[in-house]
Amino acid sequence: MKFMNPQVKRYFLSAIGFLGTYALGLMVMNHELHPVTAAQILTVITFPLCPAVFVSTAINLKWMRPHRKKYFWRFTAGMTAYVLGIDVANHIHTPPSPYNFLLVLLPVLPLIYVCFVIIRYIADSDEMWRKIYMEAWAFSGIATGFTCFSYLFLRDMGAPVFRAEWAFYLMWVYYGIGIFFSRWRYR
Amino acid sequence: MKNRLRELRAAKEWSQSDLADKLDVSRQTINAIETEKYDPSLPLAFKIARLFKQTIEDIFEAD
Repeated sequence: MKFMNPQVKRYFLSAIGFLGTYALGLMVMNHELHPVTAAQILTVITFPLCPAVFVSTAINLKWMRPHRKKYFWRFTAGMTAYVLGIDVANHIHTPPSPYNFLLVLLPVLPLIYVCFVIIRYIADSDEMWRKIYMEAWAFSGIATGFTCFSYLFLRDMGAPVFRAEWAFYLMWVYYGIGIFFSRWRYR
Repeated sequence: MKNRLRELRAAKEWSQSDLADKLDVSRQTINAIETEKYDPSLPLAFKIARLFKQTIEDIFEAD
C-alpha cells in the first residue's frame, strides 16, 4: 500500500469497501430471500448497492469537501429515519380504520426531507457540477416519464406487467447514463 | 472561449487543486475551464480576474 499515491490508495480502499459490502449484502439477501421471480432477483441485485455506496462514501469522507460531508450525514439521517419508519409501520398493528393509510405514509416524511437535502446539495455544488447534475436529472426525469408513458402502448400489445417501483430503478439508471455523458462533455 | 488560466496558474506555480481551493470550486471545474470545455459564469470570471489582479478581458477572449 505504501507504493500507492494517496489518491490511488483512496480509490482502491473505496473500491474494496464497495465490492466487499456488495458481495456480503448479496450473500445475505440471497440466503434470506431465495429469489425466484424476476422482481425478487432484481431486489437481491439492487438492494445491496445501498450499503455498498454508503461504505465506499464513508471511506472517502476524510477527503471530501465540507458541503459533500454535510450532504452525506443529512442523507444518511434521512434514509435511517425512513428505514426505521418502515420498520415501525410494519410492526404496529392497528384495528382496521380508514385512517390507517396515514400511518403507512409516515415514512414518506423523511423522504421529503431527503428530497430537500438533494436539492440543497445540488444548489451548494460549484457551478460546473451544478450544471452536470441538472442536465443528468433533466435527462433522467424526461426519459423515465417517456418510458413509463410508452409502456401504455406496449401494455395494449400484451407486454409484461411493469411494476411501479421499477420506475424508481429506471430513474437511477437514466441518471447514471445522464451523469456519464454530461460529465464526459466537460472532461 | 479562449483563456490564459493555465498560463497564469503556471506562473504562480499553483496546482489545479491549489487554484480550485482559492476559488472555492472543484479541481474538475478548473480543468474544464483550462481545456476550454466550460465557460465560467460572470461571478467566477470576476473572482479569477481579482485573484490574478487582471481584468476579465486580459484573461478571457471570445472566439
